[in-house]
Amino acid sequence: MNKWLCNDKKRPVNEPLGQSFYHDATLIEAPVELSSAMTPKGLSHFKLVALIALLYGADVGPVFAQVTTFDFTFNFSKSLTAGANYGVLTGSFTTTGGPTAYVITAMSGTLGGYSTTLLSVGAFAGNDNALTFPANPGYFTEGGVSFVANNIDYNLYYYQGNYTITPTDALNNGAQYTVKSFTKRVPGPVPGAGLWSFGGLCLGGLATRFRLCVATSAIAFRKLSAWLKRLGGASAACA
Amino acid sequence: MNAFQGATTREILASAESATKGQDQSRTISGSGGLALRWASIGSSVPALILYAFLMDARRIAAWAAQTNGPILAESLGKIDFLTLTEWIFILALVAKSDFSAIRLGRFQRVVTTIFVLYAALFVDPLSHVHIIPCLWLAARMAIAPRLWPLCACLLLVSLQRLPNNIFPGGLHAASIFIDAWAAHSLLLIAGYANELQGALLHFVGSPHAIEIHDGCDTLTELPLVVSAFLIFALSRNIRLDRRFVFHLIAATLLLFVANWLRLCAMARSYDDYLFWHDGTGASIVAMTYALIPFLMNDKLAKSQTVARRAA
Repeated sequence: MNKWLCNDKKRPVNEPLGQSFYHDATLIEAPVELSSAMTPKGLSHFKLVALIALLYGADVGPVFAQVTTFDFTFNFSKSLTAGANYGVLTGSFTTTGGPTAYVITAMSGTLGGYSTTLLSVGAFAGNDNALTFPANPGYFTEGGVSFVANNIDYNLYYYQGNYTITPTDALNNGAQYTVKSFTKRVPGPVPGAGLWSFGGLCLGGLATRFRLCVATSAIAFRKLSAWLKRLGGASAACA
Repeated sequence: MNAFQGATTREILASAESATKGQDQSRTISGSGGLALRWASIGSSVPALILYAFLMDARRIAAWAAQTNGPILAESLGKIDFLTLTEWIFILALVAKSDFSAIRLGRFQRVVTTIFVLYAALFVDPLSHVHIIPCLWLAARMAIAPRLWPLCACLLLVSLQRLPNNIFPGGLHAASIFIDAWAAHSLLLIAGYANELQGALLHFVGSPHAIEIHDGCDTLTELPLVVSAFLIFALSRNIRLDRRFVFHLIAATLLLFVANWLRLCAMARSYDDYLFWHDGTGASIVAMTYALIPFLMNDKLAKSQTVARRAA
């Protein structure tokens, strides 16, 4: 049958459907099924899909980074060129990345009692705000992490086995500091993570579906026995 | 007699449409080309897309578990998120029972989604939450079909529940920390253990060991995961949202609070206890408890609703 539908009111009664008529008839074409992409609702869906595809193409997709927090305390050790005791540096870094290489995205705490605010990468003394945990060999690079405290820019970096805080963009300036504590903040237990959770959920499922599990196991056992018997019979026949 | 006498135009067109489709199908299905088209059609259907979203999430869980500093197998197995995998099993079971005839994907949408799935499989970082995109899109499509609302809600919950950013403001976390610390302090006093509470710092009298509760260890951090697990298990089993449902949800939340308070009490005893319950086997046991609370409460809810229905 062709796709043409005749909309002729004067069409003879027994005329088969589908044949076209060119007299006293309005020849109309069977409507092409519109794909749902072209209906108004479909168009909105198409726009949504296109937007999502565009976002992904622009690498703005939802790659949500895992956040890790480190708590630290650094104590003054000795002064270097044009340096002073700036006070205890304590606080926490908020980072992304891992499992060993992180990027510091935020900082909270104090230096000598003045609250600290993280500076962006490259803002002062070539800071890269990179953090390595565990230390290898130090927690920071030579670029270190820069922050502002009491309206003064400081850079905390690791160089030749020492941690230094400096208000100037030069090596061997400022003051050396030692690490009193540097710990990774471990989150609480993640619900459902680990083999204990696996075992617990399996047992929970077994307990709540006990009869079903027994029935399923019985059926499986019967099928296995039947298969083994067939196998035994076949091997006996071959022998 | 004219077979269409008295029929409306819509009925006529619909009949021609179905006849045309039948003719087209009979032309296209035969041969390997038809087989390929059929498989392509199945592969880009709504259930297949949900399956792909599950595979993307499973890949994320595996990639996260594979990031280890020490022995790979031992540490990886300890990081696999079995609760999310269980939720997906329930969701896929619901998908198998659902009727998706109310949602029709056009040819263009099928092509775009297939391209997206291939792109996500080959080029996107395994650790990303890329499964959120198909889940959100399918949930938006299912919103027009009331019979698919439970599945719509399940997809939203399973895709958004593990976003790492804190959804609660800092003030709420501070309140939660205060409540947790005060409750742990009170429970220890009731049990006869003399202890002191200074802000979020809890320590036994005369002990050099103390614990300070941060916002990673308060109950509010675990609450969204447990509640969303409860909702997913309930919605995927077609549980009615009645008084019993609310009661069991509140009970599950309270159990979660009590479990965390007990954990805090245990951690405050000594440094060894802290290591056991915070980083060691104890943490895994607590994680199992957090996972079992919504699972078992849901089963109890289903049974109580069944009993009530039979009694009625």
